[in-house]
This record gives sequence, C-alpha cells and structure tokens, in this order.
Amino acid sequence: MSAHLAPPRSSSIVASIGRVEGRRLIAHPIFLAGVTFALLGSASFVRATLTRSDITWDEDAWTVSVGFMLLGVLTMVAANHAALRDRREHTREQHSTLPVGLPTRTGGLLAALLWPTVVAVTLLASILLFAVVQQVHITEVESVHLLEGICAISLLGALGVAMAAWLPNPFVAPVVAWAIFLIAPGEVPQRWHSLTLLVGMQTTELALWHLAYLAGLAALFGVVAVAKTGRSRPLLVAGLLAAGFVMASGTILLTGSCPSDGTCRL
Amino acid sequence: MRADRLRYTARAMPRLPPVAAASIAVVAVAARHGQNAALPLQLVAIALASGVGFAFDDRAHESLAASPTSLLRRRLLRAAVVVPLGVILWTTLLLWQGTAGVEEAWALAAMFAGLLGMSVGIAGVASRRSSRGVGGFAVTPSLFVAVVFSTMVPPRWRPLPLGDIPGGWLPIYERWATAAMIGVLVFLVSSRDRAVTRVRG
Repeated sequence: MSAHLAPPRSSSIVASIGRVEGRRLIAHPIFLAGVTFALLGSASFVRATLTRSDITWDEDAWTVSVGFMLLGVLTMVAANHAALRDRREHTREQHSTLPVGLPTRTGGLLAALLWPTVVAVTLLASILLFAVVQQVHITEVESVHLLEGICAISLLGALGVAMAAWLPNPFVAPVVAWAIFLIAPGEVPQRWHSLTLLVGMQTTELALWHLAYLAGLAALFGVVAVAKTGRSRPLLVAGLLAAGFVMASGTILLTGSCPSDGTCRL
Repeated sequence: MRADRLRYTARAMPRLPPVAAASIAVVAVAARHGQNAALPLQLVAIALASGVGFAFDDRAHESLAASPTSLLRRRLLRAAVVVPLGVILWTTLLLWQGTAGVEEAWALAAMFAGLLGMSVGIAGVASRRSSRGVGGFAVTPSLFVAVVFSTMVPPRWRPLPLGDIPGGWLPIYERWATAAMIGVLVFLVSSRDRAVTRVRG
C-alpha cells in the first residue's frame, strides 16, 4: 500500500522559501550595514532630542530618513546578491530539476522582502515611540512620508530581484546604488521630481498619491522579476494593473505637484 | 613571451564587468559633458574601480595553486592587464571632460587612485576568503558602505572626502593617497601564497 501525497500548493512553497530567504537576507552583511546606517541616523536624532528643546520632526529627523533610505538601497544590493546565488554557485541547472519552478522561487525571494520590511518597521516604530514620548510633534504629511520610506524599502528590494532576473551580473545593483546615492535631482523643484524616490510632498493628498505610486512601482518590479522565467495570464493581469496604477498616480503627481501658478508643492 | 603571458591572463579574466564599467564611465562623461567635472569624474572613478575589482576573480585558483607561479605573481599579472587600461581610459575621460583647474584634476586623480587601491585591496581579501576564488562582487558594495560611512564623519576628519573639506586641496590628496596605500598593502598581504611555508630545518 502506498501513501499518496498531494503536492504542496504554490503559495505555501512561496511562503516557505520566503521564510528561509528572509532569514538569510536580514543576516546578510550588506543588509546589516544598512541597519547600522539606519541606527546611526536614528541615534543622531535621539541625541538632538536629548540635548535640545526646540526639536521638530521636519527639521531634525532628516537623519532618520537618510538612514532608512540607505537601508533601502542596501536592501536592494543584498536582495540582488541573494537572487544571484544560483548563478554564482552554478546550481541553476541542479535547481531546475526540482518540482518547484523558477517563477515560484522568484516569488519566494520577493516574499522574503517582508523580513527586511518588518525590521525597518520595527526600527521606525521604536524611533516614533521615542519621538512621541519626547513630545516631538509629527504632522499628518510627515506620517505619510514615513510610510513612503517603508514602501521604498520593499520597492528597492523588488528592484534588486528584478535586476538579478534581467541583468544577472553582480556588478549592476551596486552601481545602481551608487547612482541613487550620487545623482540627486536639482535644487530647483520641477514637475518630474515628483516621480523620483526621495521627494517629499508638501500636502497629505499628494504624499498619499506618491505612496500609491511607490507601491505600484514595487508591484510592477515584482511582476517584471517573475515574468523573466514564467509568463501566465494572472501575471499579465497583475502587470497591467500595476502599470495602470503607476501611470494613474504618476499622472496625478505630475499635474498636481506643480500647478500653473508656478509654485511646486515638493 | 611577456606579451603572451598578458594575453593569456586577459583571456582568463571576466570581461563583462570591466567592459560594463568602461561603458558606464563613457556614458557618465558624455551625459554631463561641459558641466561641473566633479560628479561625472567621480562616477567614472567609482565605475572603473568597481570593474577592476572583478579582474581578480579566478575560478581556477584551486588548480593554479599547485603551479610554480605564486598567487602574488598571478594577481600582479591580472593587475598589469587591467590597471593600465583603466588609467588610460580615466585620463582620456578627464581630458575630454576638463576640470576647473590643476588642483581639481589632482584631487580627482587622488580619488581615482584611492578607489582603485581600495578596490584591489577588497578584491584581494574577498577572493582569498572565497572558496571559489571570486571576490569582485564584494568590491562595489564595500566601497559604497565605506564612502557613505565617511560622509557621516565631520568634514575635518572625513577619511574619504567626496567634496570640499577644511584645509583645501592638500588634505584631499593626502587622505585618498593614504586610502590607496592601505588598499595596495592589504592586497599584497592578501596575496601571500598559502602553499608557501617556511621550512624548519
């Protein structure tokens, strides 16, 4: 008598791979360097809060934002490094003989990005709690900016996985990290700046649209990463939805950020 | 004979990262040609230094460890292939872009030398630690982390300055030159041959 074992569902495999890869990702030295930057940025804010009385989130918490942005950039490099493991170790052919397909494994890598995101949320929640205890006023639009920072970490991680799928070379992601670090939009605000990653919108409504734009981009990069190895109708629908979402929110940002009166709300 | 040795070494080296680095360097200068020289030439230095780091990836290191050519000699051969090419390209791009003055040109040269030195140092250590003899992948992220950490240090003490620091040009030359020397030293130390041991008699 032989026992018949039903094959595990694809979603449970994605979750399993996500758990294993996620644990490895948050122990990756490059990600840990990013966490160190986030902690240093937060420590600078804590020091300012403890030594001065005239503290505002808008003026003094920029070090926190910069630290988390660097965490996002290094999450991208670490995720790219993890996604290139098969090529690096020459195990691609070996893994292709397993019952789990390449799209499922890419899905697992994307699911693994939840772990760095949870780490970032925990760190940010701690610093927010400290700010609240110290009675530092945080406005509504600044709260949305914090959510954008968290979303940017997932977005950059998904970009790292997508780059590994389409440009499978360890040289690419770190160079993109350098480009994000060195190339900043000009000092004078312009309409197209609203589509960049590091922009801060001045109104809550625009900030929410920017958050939606970043979330759409993250989903789009995820779909692009999976599409390299597996094309299916649900994936196509997801890609079209994400692209539509990005285009709609991007159009609203482009038209709303710099109205015709000449002042930009960036 | 010597040219043959360089040719065979070049054949064994990974080509994509150095070629991609050279392409990025040319595009960076072409896109910003005629504007402030600092940013494009910084990008050029970073790209070329990152590309050079991959030149020390040697997947045959296990087999070659038993050959009479020492690890240091094998690595120096690789450096002899890739470093002069990088320096020639960098100088060409510097002349094409032009700088505001001689001091800026020297500062950018010092920065390129510093990044190049750090790159070979990191690649040397990472390749030695890797069981597969590859360390190029560690170069660019390590340079990124080092420079970002440096920008967090107050300008007076900043070890790897990307912009102006108190004291003018001289501290910029000195700090990048120090980085280059430390990098080369680390490279030399990491290139000691594991197979060579002192015979006790």
